[in-house]
Amino acid sequence: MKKILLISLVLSSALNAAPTSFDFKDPKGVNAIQFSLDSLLEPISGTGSGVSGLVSFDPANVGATSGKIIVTTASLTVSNSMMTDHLRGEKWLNAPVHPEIVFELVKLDNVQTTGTTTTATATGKFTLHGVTKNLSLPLKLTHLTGAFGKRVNKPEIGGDLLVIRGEFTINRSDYAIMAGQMEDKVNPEIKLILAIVGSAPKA
Amino acid sequence: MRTAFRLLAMTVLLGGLGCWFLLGAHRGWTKNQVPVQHTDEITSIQYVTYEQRFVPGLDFLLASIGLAGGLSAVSFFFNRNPPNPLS
Repeated sequence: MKKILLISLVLSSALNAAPTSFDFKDPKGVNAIQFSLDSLLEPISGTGSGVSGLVSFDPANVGATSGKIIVTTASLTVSNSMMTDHLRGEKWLNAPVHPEIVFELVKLDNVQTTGTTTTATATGKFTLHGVTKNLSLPLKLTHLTGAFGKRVNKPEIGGDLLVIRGEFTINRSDYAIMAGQMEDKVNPEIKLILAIVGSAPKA
Repeated sequence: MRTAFRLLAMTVLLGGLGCWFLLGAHRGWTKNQVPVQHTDEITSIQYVTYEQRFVPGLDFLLASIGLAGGLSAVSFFFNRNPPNPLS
């Protein structure tokens, strides 16, 4: 009897310690990356709302967080439809040929957790316009236990949320996006702001 | 014809200026959809949706001035007074 109790205890703690997979295809459609770059008249800013991906997160071992966030290139939008067409077009991001922008999270360093919030430096591989480069960026992760049901107005459904926030800057020439061209009108530096939520519903 | 082109140029110039001024006098690029900021209650994530609305910018204003200038220039290709067929 003692053995069975011990085994079930070990099993239950092992199950509790297992990382949870958070799905970043948001049921409320809120997830998006925001981007901005300087131009002649005003900064060109826009959003990419086609966010998906899975992140494996264990609050007991945040450093082992891993996963992949994908943004569809065809979802990038700015306030002017002609600019949007150019942005997605052959000369710039070439959405039909490079349909996805991907960040693959390999590891988290400098992890500091206070309550439900963790700050860390994420290291991973960033793919844009068919070019993959190693990238490190500061991230803030907030683990909201039991908040999934409340967010989708179904409190009877359990489950957690994982909010990831981060800001980083890339140089478009590093990703072969019109390198060295039109720099007076379209800044070579692109600022990217990430604020996305992943869900892990429990049936 | 000369007068007609000049009147057209004036209409384009005033129309462009008026449209730009009345629709917000936006001093950036022309927009045909406007971002609207929202905040998700549970996660506090700020996100953007787009509202279909035309906001002319400085490029629109410059295009109107350019077109008006072009029409005005074309007007000079026409004679001030057409030759009198009787003379």
